[in-house]
Amino acid sequence: MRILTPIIISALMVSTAYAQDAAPEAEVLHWFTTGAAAAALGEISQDYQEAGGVWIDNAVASGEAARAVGFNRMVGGQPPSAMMLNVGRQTDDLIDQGLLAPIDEAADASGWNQNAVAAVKEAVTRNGHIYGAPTNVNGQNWLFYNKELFERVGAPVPDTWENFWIALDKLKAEGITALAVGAQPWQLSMMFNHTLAGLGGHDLYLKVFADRDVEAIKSPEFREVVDAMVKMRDYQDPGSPNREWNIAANMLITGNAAIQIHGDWSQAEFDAADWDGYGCLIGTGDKSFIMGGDMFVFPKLSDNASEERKLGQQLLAQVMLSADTQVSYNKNKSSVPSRTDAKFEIVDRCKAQALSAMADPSLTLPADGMLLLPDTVGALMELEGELWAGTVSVDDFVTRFANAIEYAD
Amino acid sequence: MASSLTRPSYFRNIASNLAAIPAWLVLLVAYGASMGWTIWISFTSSRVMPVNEFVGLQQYERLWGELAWTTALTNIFIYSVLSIAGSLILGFLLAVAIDQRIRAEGVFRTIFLYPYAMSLIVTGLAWKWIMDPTLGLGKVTRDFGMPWLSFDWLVKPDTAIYVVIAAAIWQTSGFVMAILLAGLRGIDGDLMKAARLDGIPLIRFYLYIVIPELRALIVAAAVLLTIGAAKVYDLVVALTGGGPGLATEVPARFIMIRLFLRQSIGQAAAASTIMLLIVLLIALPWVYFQYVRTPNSRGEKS
Amino acid sequence: MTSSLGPGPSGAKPKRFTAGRIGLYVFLFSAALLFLLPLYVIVITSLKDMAQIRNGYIFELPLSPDLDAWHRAWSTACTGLKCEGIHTGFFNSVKILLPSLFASVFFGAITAYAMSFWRIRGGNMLLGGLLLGAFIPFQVFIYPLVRIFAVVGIFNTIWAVVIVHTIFGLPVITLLFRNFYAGIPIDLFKAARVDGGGFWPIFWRLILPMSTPMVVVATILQVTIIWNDYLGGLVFAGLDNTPMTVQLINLVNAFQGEREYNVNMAATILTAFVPLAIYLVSGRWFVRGIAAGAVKG
Repeated sequence: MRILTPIIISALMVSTAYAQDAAPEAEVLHWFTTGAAAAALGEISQDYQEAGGVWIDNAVASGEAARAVGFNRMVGGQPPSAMMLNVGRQTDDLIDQGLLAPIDEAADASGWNQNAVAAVKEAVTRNGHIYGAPTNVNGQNWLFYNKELFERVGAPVPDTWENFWIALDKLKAEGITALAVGAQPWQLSMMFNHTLAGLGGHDLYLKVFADRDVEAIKSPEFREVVDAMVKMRDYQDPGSPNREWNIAANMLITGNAAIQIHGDWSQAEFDAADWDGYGCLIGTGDKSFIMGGDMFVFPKLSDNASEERKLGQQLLAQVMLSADTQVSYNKNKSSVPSRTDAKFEIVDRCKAQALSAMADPSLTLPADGMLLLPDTVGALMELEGELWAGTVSVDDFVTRFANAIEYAD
Repeated sequence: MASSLTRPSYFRNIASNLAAIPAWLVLLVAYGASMGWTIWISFTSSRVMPVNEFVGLQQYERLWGELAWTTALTNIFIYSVLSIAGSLILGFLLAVAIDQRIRAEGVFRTIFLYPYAMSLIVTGLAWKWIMDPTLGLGKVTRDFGMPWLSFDWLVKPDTAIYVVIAAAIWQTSGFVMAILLAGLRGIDGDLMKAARLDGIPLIRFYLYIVIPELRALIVAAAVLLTIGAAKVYDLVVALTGGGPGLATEVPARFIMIRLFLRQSIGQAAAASTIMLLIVLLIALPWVYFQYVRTPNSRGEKS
Repeated sequence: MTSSLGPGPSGAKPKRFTAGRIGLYVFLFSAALLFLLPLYVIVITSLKDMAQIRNGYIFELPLSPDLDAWHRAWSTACTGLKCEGIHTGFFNSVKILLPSLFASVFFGAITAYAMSFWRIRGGNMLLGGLLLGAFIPFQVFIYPLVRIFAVVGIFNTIWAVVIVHTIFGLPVITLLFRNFYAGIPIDLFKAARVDGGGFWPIFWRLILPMSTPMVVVATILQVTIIWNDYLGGLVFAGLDNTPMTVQLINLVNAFQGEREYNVNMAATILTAFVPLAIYLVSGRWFVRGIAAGAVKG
């Protein structure tokens, strides 16, 4: 595996005159504090150290806090070498402000440029330069279900919406919590998008998020999606408000709930707990696969940053984008690499679904964060949170949703 | 002799004014410049980083259309009034109770005071569990045959804020108790005996004699509580994350989310400016009369 | 005429078992139980093993209590890619606490001293302005302060966080000291002036020794605020000075994997230990300090 190391080291030695004494170092800001995600990141850290770099870990508990730290460090002129964000438009403003360093060379040297998944590469390219190193492509509209509970009540596999409701009713009739929900806005937003893509369909999803078509939002098809969301509320348990996603995933593992509609990192939870009694589906109804990703951006270091830091930053980008590292990272995270030439052994049936969906452009959809600015995404999340809490009517929801999309930048 | 002391010479005053420089720096630079910058940013189109593109009142127009903001303001008002009143009342009752020559006074005092010592990020999780209908008190009552007492107030939008208020009262009433206890101890012992001899009923005694005596301390406690209530953040994040829906959204959280997660510091700045205006509107007259205009601390007219 | 400023209760001497007496104790006991509830849950959870936590009630006592979770929380729990527990944070928190405490109490005291006895220019405006600033949420100040610190060159160092704590402690501490000094008879001060004392000598030799109750109260208040601070330490302190609260949140808010609640709760108590201990030991001084005039309207 480590064939890459000598290549990288020699590339470095060629590119800088005095690389001998300066051990490249990188301060990496992220929010993978524990569990499978931390293990995945640990793989990157390990590869980086084997390539000669020093990894300075800066883990912060939540995405919000990590952004607070990262943006403030940029404002304060002392940015970290790399900062974790999600693939999409979260970097738009940073790039416009000239705060991020492009990593074109690293992308070329690692071969990522030539083999990247097209949608992801497009999402991180601006003005012809690459500004982010996506570590994976993750799926955001999976439906996981507890097979044993399904068998027990005789519920059909929920691959169509008809079957979905039948399954929910059968589960509920037996006193089983049908849906494991973590009622936090970001999780609810994923459930909503799953329903929009699955029930509303591939085209409606794109009309809403990509074309910003207000008429599409006011259409009866969209309304049907909202109604479905409202109906799903009846199948959760009372403890769902503010519940963390991994707690919800755990409900499936322990048999306390039957279905979780969430991203593929839930599967990492199942695997980490050595539980394989789960079934997995991409999309109910329409089989489109909503893709997002994790990535690292590389803030422009100040002019008086040390040589170690400058070298370290480029080396880090290269390591992150290398095929082998992508494979070892994704094994732990249950997502797929962001480059198509990574030798990723498909061990399970779920990954197989993902990879075959990704191969067909008519079956893939970009996550909302790829098409909309964080402000709009946040506004929609807030709205979906209100819908789930029952504090906004369907009509108001549609109106405000349309409003947010119409005035999105 | 008197005149040379009441009018310190110009020469002597330099040291004292110099010593006050750090405080002036804090006021003018830390508070003043920060608020000035914030107000400026609220008139720009800044998103994740500050930019100087002036857009007039656009941010404010958007802000007032945000249900989250108007809800946050309503919530902070309800929260402040109820949590401060509740802490004052409970703190007073606890102080009176402890003042009654009870045994193990030290133990009780510590029990009521310890919540103030612990971070809410920390105790918030414990309360979240206790009030989780599937884990805490709700589970106990359900399993023990009392499902009608579901303790699910934290997860319902209509009642969530009252649980947050209750947790706030839990946290601060011990502090109020400590202040008022000291005050009770400071009340003229003869006054108490005389009132008792006169046979005044207990409640009237406390209401009409003791409380007026403690007025200054109660006001001080109320000021400290208000300062904390306006800024509440940790408690809300720990207990409800602002939900369900917007039921427990508060200004500090509204601002925080727009600063970093939603990359919209223009909005955050507009919200901050409105907070400043509200503070000025409500607190300024009071601060002025209490501390600036009226007899200065030495009892001499300024 | 003077009342007992000492700790003696001033209620009537109690008769033994009146209904009122019983009612009083019932009230106190119920309130105490309610107040202790969260602490109880935290402590017993820290002593349980995960199996019991998963399957049992949150209120039940541990079946086989052990301190394993405590040990893990202190030295081996993961707070990121590092798995060293939260003990490094403890020393950082102390490193942040001591200078911040000293600075905030000191500057609050001398500002109040200057205001109270020396009638500095704009003294009342200064206090009024600071008090108004105290009502604004901390989040508002993050970006501007970061910028200011960066310009001065101290951003991301321990001095940044020390100054942050001083800034945000100043309004309340100055107010408290000012009210305290209002209770000191002016004649003492005038006598010292007659003796030829200047600003600093009078402070060190006369006023400061008299301020002990107030210093105690201010210290207790500030220890709580500074030790429990999360956001300030997160943004301003720099990676090398990460306080215990930040590490605690990293540990507790585990977004992946099953949460080890027993370790989380143990870490919580370890983090809360310092302020809790201070309150336990000095609660009485807190009350006495207030009784001596530390808090006034």
